[in-house]
Amino acid sequence: MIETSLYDEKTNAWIVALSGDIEIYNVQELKKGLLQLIAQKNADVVLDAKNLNYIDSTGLGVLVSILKEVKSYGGKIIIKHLKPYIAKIFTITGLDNVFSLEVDPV
Amino acid sequence: MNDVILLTIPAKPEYVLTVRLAVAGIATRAGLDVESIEDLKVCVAEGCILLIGEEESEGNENIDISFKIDKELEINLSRNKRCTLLSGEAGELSVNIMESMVDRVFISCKDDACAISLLKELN
Repeated sequence: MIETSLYDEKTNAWIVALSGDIEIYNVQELKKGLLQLIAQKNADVVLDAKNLNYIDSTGLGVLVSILKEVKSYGGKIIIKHLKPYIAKIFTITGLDNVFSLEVDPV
Repeated sequence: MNDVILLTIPAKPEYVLTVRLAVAGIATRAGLDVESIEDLKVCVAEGCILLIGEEESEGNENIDISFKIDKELEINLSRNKRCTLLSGEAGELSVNIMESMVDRVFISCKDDACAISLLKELN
């Protein structure tokens, strides 16, 4: 879920720290939070997944829908510090080609 | 070992976590390694997501899950309702994930029932 979010003027990006589990139960909360941020300021979105432990397909679906919004104003989404076992889910689903991913070493 | 564990949850998003925790315990007892356990938790959760679907559960609808530990770990999930997600993009994501992470996946969906079977070989 969204732990913290701040706007970085230098890079024109929202820096969003995710934590815990993103799953079918709480995924709408994530969607609402991210939509609020990009409505406030159309900017790139950098998701820090250092403390993210799990994401399911509904979470991936929300990230894809947010990416469509971000792309509509020419922005991009970067996901940083992904744990390898979570990065694996992005690879399996082909979403590693859709998002810009930075995976932490094992 | 030839053991069977049965679990029934309300067909609601809030109970998927319960299933993931149960899978961790059962897969550990079946002797799977840490990576396989994580994969299996993800797969079974995706099965639940498919069966829960997008509509609010009406009344007392449940998802029945059985775990059979033998030469392989066989997990069967079923619900007495048609799976509406299967034909869409969200369903495709779930099926891709499941097919990549366990040895075999069988999905059977009819008008009034849907069943998902996941098989993981045990060494």
